[in-house]
Amino acid sequence: MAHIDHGKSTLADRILELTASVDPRKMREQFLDSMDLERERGITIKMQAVRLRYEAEDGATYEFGLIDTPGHVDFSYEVSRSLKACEGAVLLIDAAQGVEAQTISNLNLAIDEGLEIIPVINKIDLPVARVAQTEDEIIGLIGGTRDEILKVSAKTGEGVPELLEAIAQRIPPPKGNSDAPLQALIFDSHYDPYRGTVCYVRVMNGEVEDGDAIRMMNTGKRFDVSGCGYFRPQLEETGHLSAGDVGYIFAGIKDIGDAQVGDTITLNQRPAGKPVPGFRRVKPLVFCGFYAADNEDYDDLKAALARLSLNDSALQYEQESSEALGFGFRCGFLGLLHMEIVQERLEREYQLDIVATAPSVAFEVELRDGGVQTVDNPARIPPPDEIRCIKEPYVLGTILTPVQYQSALIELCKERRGELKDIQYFTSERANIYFYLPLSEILYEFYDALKTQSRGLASFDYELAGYRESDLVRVDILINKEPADALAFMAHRKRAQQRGREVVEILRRTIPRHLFIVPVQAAIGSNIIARETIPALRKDVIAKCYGGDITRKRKLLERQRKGKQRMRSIGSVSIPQEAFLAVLKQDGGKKK
Amino acid sequence: MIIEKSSPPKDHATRYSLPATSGLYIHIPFCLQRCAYCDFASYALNALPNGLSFGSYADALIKEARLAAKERGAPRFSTLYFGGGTPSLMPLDELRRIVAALRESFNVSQIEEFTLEANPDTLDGEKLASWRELGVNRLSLGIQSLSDTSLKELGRSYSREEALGALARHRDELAAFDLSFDLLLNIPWQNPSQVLDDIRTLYAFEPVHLSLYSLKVEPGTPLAMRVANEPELAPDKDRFADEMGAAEKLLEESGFARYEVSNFARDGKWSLHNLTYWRGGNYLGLGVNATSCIRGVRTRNHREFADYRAALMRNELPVAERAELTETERAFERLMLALRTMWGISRDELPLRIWKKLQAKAEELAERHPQLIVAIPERIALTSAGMNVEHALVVELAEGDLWGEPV
Ligand SMILES: Nc1nc2c(ncn2[C@@H]2O[C@H](COP(=O)(O)OP(=O)(O)OP(=O)(O)O)[C@@H](O)[C@H]2O)c(=O)[nH]1
Ligand code: SF4
Ligand SMILES: [Mg+2]
Repeated sequence: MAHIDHGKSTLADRILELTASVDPRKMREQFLDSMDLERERGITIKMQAVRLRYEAEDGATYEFGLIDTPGHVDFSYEVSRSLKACEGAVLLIDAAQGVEAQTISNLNLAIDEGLEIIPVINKIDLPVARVAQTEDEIIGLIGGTRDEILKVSAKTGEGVPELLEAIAQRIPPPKGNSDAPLQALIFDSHYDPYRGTVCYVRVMNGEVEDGDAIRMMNTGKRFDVSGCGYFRPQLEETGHLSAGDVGYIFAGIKDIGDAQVGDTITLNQRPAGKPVPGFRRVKPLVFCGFYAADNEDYDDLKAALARLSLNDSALQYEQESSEALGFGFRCGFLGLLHMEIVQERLEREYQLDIVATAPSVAFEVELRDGGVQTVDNPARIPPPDEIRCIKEPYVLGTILTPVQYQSALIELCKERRGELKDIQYFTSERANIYFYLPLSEILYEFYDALKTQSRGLASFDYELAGYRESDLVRVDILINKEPADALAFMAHRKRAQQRGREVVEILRRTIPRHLFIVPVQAAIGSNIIARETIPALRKDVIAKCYGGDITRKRKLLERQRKGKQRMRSIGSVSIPQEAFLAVLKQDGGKKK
Repeated sequence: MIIEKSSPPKDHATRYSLPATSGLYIHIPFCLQRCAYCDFASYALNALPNGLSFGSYADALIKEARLAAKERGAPRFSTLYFGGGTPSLMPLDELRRIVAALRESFNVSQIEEFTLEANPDTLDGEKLASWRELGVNRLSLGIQSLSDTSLKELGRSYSREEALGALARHRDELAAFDLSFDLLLNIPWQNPSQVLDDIRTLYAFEPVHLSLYSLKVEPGTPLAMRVANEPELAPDKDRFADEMGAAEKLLEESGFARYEVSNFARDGKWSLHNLTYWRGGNYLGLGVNATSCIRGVRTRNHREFADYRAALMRNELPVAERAELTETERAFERLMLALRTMWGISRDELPLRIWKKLQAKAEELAERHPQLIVAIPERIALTSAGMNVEHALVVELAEGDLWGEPV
């Protein structure tokens, strides 16, 4: 585990090579990043488990499992689940970057699990490597001595044999008891169209074999094991798993809700007394609506979300409908990158064309009548006169930065309605700044601003820190006087007008001219705060249309006709998808 | 502010009944020089491809005429149109050969309208007299603008002085023809009222017909490259509508009616040949890149002379593309073409099931946009403002399941 880009997947490559786990002809960089999206973006999104065989210097052969995890904060849920299947963790730190924010948060996860931690400095081949400083930072963080810290280059392979040796020597074997009743924790899963759900399990106690009748301890559902084995990383059927093993189980599970991540599998005949403590269900932080661009694809979208959520247990969704967009789903994500990845996976893996509404956080609305509502869709915020106050989620953010950027970053947080909590120094050059910030303020362009202000050297991490009352208003967007529910957004009162202006301006540019004048307005309640007008279309006809031009013109009109059918309409105004996207882009800003 | 006319077109419909026409089109791909905005199939005289000359082109045309006649059984035509390029460049002896071959191959004894396109700087007394003798009764003169700056920027081969001089010198010979002038709207190098001045100036030569086209930036032309660097030159649609509105007002005062999106005529002197296109009639085109549409089969000839001639050498029609329209496509074309004209489309021009749905849609649209469209039980037509946005209106009309199947 590590901060993003510190070299986990590259180190995994070297380990796969040294343990001869992958056919050299099939080897490629970041081998375990098998999803197209991961390869294109150069980041890990999903954890990947592999079972390895290592012949150590003491002559013994060790079998051990490796799980490559993502570094991006949006996917830390993957890390925390992976750790449940482990005895130890390699804490990897980029020698050029030093300790960064997710180094610390991932370290804390591993400490909570009571794992053996091996600190490793990576990228020592780089000319800008700061090995000594990084050692100081690590010691400041976890104590210990310099010689306990390994130094490797995942790129050249230097130091990796020593690391394998350290893994074999320092990390204890799993504790479980093979004679006890079966307890196998499902820590991940995905759907295979031929064999049903693949459960990724860590066997805590007991044994399981092909043909065993099993039971899900939380849902009570029963199945027969039709196959089990190890990840190598391709599936290796062994027909048997026992305590300490990490592997997979097939049991003809067609309904994907029946094998929930976090559930414990036990034997029907000889059930365990209680399930293994599962995972803290993660709460989504960011919400948006997903709609099929073509309304007819609604059912496909539904099926795709069901399958995808099996492979991404942090994804949550429920049906919703919008006047402008028809039927779709309100989806919850762990962050904007997560949202973007889910959208792209739906588009690629399920060939869907998606319209996404602007992302929002979940608000707590206290009503005058004493009721409290949690609302994650701005369009559903009650009218202003029914509201006593609106609360929004806050985070406790941690910024790790070289001290010279400290004041610029404090300034940045203040602009974002942040409240400084504390500053700590764990070496004389590095400051740890703690801030309370509204979650909505760090979603948009915050990372970019942070990187710009610190020449790329500051890093950021956050955890939820409860709700606070804020002066928030709902801004409605009216197109030709009709509210476009999918475009409504929440904003701090002081910013509402500015944002409203920006949105109507984008809409003016992206909505094509119609046969009539189309006013586009932003409003708070009945108070119009911004307005633009799309003038009526006055000319679109081609001037010349003689014998040779007719086919061209027909094709042009047919395209126009089809294009129009794909647009959404609000009242009698057709709104192209690009308009929704443009508004979203302006909200979401540049993403990672 | 422009007053949009919304005269109910039914007047025209009852006043005139249009004869069914069929047209023969001959493409002449020669020009003195290539204009900056032009993407027509045409060659500048100083840059002719190998093997292309007036003579070799005439030979090829004659051969194509014979082949086409054999294939199609010597059809009868009511209009003949020499377009280009610049047909007025064609040397007289070559032109005579071509016309003679057409007479031989097709039934052209009842030609009502024989148009030849000409540029002002190619006129001379001998040509004009011979054209008349050959039967030409209508000249379409490409003027485009009378502003010297515009002419220069557009890459036209003459100045204002030269154009007007030629017209004045040949005033008497020209009087023997129905005259039509082409002008461009939306020329970025002139101010919007220039076109009005030009129309007034041209009135002196007593045209019965005017075509006002919008300057269009066609990809790959020198103009397109220029606009890419100087975006302020890109044609502005609002300006088009303003210029068109003002020109239309002026023309109407002098008795010209806008009978098609870009065409105006006086005394019913519409271009019968072009009406054939808009009314779904049959037409046969000869020459490079020429198109034909006969009973729903549309073909296009090779664009390059080499390919065109090679096919003819093999005794094959020089057809590069051929498409047979489905009933739905034909109906859709009928609609989109007919709505370009002041007559619009009438009940008997479409299959009844389509007409019924269309008519209902049109009434609904007319209610919302009375300034754009007129719908009566027998006929749907666009107003002048409606003609400017014909695409959007056709798309509105053709929405939904109107056609029973996706077009
Ligand atoms: N020079 C050098 N570059 C390295 C080394 N290890 C990794 N890199 C480079 O660092 C970048 C990130 O490496 P990854 O292995 O994808 O990092 P990661 O930690 O898996 O990243 P995430 O999964 O996105 O958190 C890649 O461009 C690697 O080539 C190293 O030892 N030396
Ligand atoms: S004269 Fe006409 S056909 Fe010839 S180049 Fe100019 S615009 Fe094109
Ligand atoms: Mg990785």
